[in-house]
Amino acid sequence: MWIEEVSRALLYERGNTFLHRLDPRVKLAYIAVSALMMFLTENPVSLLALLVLHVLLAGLGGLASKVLSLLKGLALFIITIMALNTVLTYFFSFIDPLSLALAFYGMVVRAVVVLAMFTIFVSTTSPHELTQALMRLGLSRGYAYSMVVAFRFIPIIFAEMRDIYDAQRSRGLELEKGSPLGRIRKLAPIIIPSIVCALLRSKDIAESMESRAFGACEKRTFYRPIRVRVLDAVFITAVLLLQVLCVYPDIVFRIAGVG
Amino acid sequence: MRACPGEVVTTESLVVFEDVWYQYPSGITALRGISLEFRRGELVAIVGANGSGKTTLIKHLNGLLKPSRGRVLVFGVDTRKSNVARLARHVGLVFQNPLNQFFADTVWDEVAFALKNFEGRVNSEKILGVLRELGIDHLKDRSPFEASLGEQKRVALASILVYEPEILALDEPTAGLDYRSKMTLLSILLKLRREGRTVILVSHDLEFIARARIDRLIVLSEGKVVFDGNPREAFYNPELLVASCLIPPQIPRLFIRLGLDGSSTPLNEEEAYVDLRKLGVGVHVDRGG
Repeated sequence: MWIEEVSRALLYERGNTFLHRLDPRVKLAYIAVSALMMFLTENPVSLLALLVLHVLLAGLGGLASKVLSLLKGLALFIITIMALNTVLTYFFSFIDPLSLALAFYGMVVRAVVVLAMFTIFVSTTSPHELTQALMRLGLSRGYAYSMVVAFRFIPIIFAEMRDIYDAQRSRGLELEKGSPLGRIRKLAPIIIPSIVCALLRSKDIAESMESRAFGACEKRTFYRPIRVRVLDAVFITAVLLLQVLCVYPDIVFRIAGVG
Repeated sequence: MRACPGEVVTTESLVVFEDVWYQYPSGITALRGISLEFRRGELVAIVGANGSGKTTLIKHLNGLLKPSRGRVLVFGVDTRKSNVARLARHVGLVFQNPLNQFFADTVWDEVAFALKNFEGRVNSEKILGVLRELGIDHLKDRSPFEASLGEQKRVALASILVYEPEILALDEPTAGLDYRSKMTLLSILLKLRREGRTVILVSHDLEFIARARIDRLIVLSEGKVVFDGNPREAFYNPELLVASCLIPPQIPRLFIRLGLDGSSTPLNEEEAYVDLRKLGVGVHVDRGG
């Protein structure tokens, strides 16, 4: 089922790949740079090159299967949104089919790249590292922890939703049957328990963190401080250069004196 | 050796597992060649350590999970050729956490849910009957979230019992319950058994099982059935249980230590009392109970 695929892809797993060793701030910078580069170009060849670059990066970190299962899990969702988007664009802006096809292609590539980056970040960054990164970037403790907890609980919430779905199916809930409106109404038995369980869990977490003296000291230090090292510098430079090459090949070649 | 206090356990097999293997998408193999039969009217307990495959096994009963290899037949129908909605009519599954299913405003609506799905209409008498039977009729207009855990577990049980499935499987029904709630649960289970329904109890609460007068015990270990038979035999075999990360209930342990297990094999204090009196141990004290 799609929930299983997604939760498996997003699970943080301890490891020792170079992606695990990177400073989380550098990984965030990587995402920011890549997102920017991706929206600077409409050129199909450049987009394809960027896609190959990110997928290769995930592959080097041993995450290819995770990206694939995230893609598989979200396929229906992505296709629906894109089809809707394409159809609406076609009817309301009267653009020619070729540009439409190109726009569609651009959407697909960007979606896959975003998923790949997301997988790289989520499955190789521990909650501990993420907290530190956010706090070093100036976020206050309360907000940093809220984000980290939310992030940390993604796979757990998905697993819980699967249990809820199983329990309701065992009581005869059939989501596949009925009119479109009826089907939406049928989601209540899934959504309500999910929200209730998430709220109860957040209360439990708050209580257990407070009972372990969360927020007792104004300034906190970290057991294993994160540090930018040579690897990080090499990584971010390489990623930046390669992406500039993908997006502005003519400029790069001119500077290098090739073209 | 004492016979089990069963009335009529027919030999009619309702569910058959034929060399069932199950591998989760994550790659973990949870079941490794399970072959089992569940017969009409028996009260069976499935025990095993955490991760031994108990929950995975019962999720095969109504097709929530389909075997990776082998097959499961429910009333002769291969679960792979059927669907959960059809199978769940015959097999009611009560999950461990009642909060994973509550969504309605009132206990009444919560219990009516499965009835509406399976029968298309609400039979008020049935709902009220089940609520009374489980002693939760006073909660009918309250929210299921307001009830205590013991009551919530009973609401979850009621929401399945109401449509009268022939087979009932309960996952960890005693977890988190106090003594009194456990005894209430036990009397409900025994009543279902008397009605000729098949009850499958998944638990690692061996003390509860020793009290429950079950017909048959199944011990799972690492996805395999390591014991299937008379609970007395398993509870007086500590090696078997310890190898499966379990420990016998207190009374069998005491009788083994005293070396009495050659002549008497009680499962709980009730039976132990009778056996010890026969051996001439102790003085009878009438406490008016």
